[in-house]
Amino acid sequence: MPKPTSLVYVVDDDLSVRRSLQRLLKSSGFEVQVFTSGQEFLREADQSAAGCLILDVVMPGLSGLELQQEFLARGYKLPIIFITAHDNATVQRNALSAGAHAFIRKPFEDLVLLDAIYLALESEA
Amino acid sequence: MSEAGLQDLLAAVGTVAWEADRATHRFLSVSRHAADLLGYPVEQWLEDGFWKARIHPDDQEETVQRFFNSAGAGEHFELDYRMCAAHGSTVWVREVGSAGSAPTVCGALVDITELKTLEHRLGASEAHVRALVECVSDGLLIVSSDGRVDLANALAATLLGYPRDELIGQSIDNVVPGLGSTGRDLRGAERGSTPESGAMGPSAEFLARRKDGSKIPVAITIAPLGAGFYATVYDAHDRRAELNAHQLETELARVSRAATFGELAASLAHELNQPLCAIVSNGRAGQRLLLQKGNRYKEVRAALTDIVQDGKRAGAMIDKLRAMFKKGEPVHEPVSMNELVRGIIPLVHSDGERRQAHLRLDLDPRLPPVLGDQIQLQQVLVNLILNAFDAVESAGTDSPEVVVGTAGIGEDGIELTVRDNGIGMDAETMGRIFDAFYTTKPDGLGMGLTICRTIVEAHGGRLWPTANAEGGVTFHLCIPCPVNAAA
Repeated sequence: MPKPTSLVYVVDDDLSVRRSLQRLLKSSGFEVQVFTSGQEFLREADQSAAGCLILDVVMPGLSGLELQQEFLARGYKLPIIFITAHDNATVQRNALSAGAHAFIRKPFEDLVLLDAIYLALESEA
Repeated sequence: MSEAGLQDLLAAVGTVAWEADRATHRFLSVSRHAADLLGYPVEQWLEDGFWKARIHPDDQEETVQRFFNSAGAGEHFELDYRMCAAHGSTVWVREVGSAGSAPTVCGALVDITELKTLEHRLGASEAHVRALVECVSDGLLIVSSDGRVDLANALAATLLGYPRDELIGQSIDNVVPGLGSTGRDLRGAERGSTPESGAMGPSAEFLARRKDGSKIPVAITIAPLGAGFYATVYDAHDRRAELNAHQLETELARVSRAATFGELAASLAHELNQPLCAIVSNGRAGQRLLLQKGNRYKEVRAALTDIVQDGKRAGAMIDKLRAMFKKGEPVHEPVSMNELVRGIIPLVHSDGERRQAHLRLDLDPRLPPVLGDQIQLQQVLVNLILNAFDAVESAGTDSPEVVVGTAGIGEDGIELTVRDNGIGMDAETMGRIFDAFYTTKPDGLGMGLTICRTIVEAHGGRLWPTANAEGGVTFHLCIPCPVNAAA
C-alpha cells in the first residue's frame, strides 16, 4: 500500500484527463500535483519530492518522450509511467527502452494505473 | 381637295411632290415640304441644275444615269440615293415617279434616312448573330415553322454530314427523323408564353441520317424560337463520354473524401480516448469515494458532473464526424468561414499534435457569410490543414506552426489562408500540385488539391499557393460574398 505521503505528478495537456486522474489518485490515497505541460513541470516541480510521474506522450511543445530524454540528460531518477491516447508501437518501444516503467493506453482501468504506480514506487524504495 | 389641303397632307406624310423637265430634271414645281426636306427654300429648288448639284457625290453619277434611262424609256422608276442638306448633313431619299410620253415627269421624294439607318443596324446585328452562331461549340440549327432548316452553323453541317448550302432548306425530318414533330409538340406546349420564357427541353437522342446514308446518334436540345425552334446538336457518343467523365470525377471525389475521412476517423478515435479516459477514471474514483468513510457526497457529485461533461464532449466529436460523412447534393447556404474553421479544429487537433505542429488561428471577427456547401468547404480546409501538417513534419522545423487566417477583401469576398513554416515547394512542384494524380507523398493519391480546386471554383472562388519569404507555403482561398448574403 502507498505511504500516506506518496506524491504523484501528472503531466497532461487535457484538462478532463488531469481532473479525473487527480480525483482518482486522491481517492486512492495519493498526494497529487498536476501540470499542463512538460515545460511547466520542469519549471515548477521539485523532482526529489515525488514518488513517480504520470506523463502524457502527445502534448504541444515538449512531448512526453522529449521530457523523458531531458530527465536522462539531467540525471533525474523519477520513475515515469506513460499514458497515451495514441496507439503507436514504435513510440511504446522507444519509451520503454529508455527506461519507462509502464506504457498505458487511454482509456484504462484504474487498477492498471494503480498497479503500475505501486510497482514504480516499490522499485524506488 | 383644295390646293392648300393637298400641301398640308403632303407635308404631314413627309413627301415632296414634284414636276420636272424630262430632259434636264429641272424642277418646274415642288410642294411646300421641299423646304423642310433639305433646308433650301422652294425658289432655290426651281433653279437650273439644283437637283444634280444636291445629290451626294458618291451617288451622283449612278442616280443621274438611272433617271435619264428610265425617263428616256418612259418607265416607272424608284431611286434610293443621298442628298446634301443645307446644314451639311446627308439625307437619304427615295424618289419615285413615272415618265410617260409627256415632256414633264411627275414624282415624289421621301426622306428614308431612318429606314436606312435601321437597315444598316439590322445588317450589323445579323452579321453578329451569324458570327456568334459559328463560335458556338455545339452544332446549331434554326428550323422554320414549316419544318425546314433556316440556318445551320458549320459544326451542325459537319455533324449531320451535309454541305451547309444543302442542309439549309432541307426538311428537318429528312435529316433528323422525328425532330420536326418534337419541335411542333414543344411549340404546342409553349403556346401563349414568350420565347424568352420557353424552357429548354431536356436533351433527347435521335438517329440522324447523313447525306451519304450513314446514321449517327445525336443528342439534341430544342427550344422554341418565333414560329419555329432552334436546336443544339451534339454527337451522342461525345456527350455520353462527357457524362461518364463527370460521373467518374464525382465518384473519385467521394472516394478521396472517404480516404481523407478514413484518416480523420482514425485521428478522431485517438481524440475520443481523452474524454473516455476521463470518464472511466472519474467513474472509478466515484466508486472508491462511495466506499470510503465520511461524507464524500460533494466529491462524488463533482466526479459525476465531469463524467457528464466528458460524455457530451465525446458525443459532439462524433456528431461532427457524422455531419462530415453525410452524403448529399451540394447545397448553397450562408456559411460563416470563421465557424467553419473553428468547427474543424477538434477534428485535426489530434493529428497536429501527433506531428508536433502548433495550429494557430488568426480570424477576422467581422466577416460576412459566404454562400456555399459547408461540407465541401470543410473538406477543402481539412485537406489544406493536413497538407500543412505534412509539410511542417517533413521539414523538422524547431517550432512547426500552421496558421489559419481569415480576412475580408473589400466587397469582393473573403480570403482564407493556411500558412505553414514547413518544407516549402520548388517552382516545378508549385506548378503541378493541382494536376490530377500528381503527388509528392509516398502513399498520396494525388487528388486532394485537384478536388479542392474543383470545389473552390464551383463556389466561384480561387485557390492558389504562394511561397513565404521566411520559408514554407501559404495557400490562399478566395470566395466571393454575394451582396445579399448578409441579409
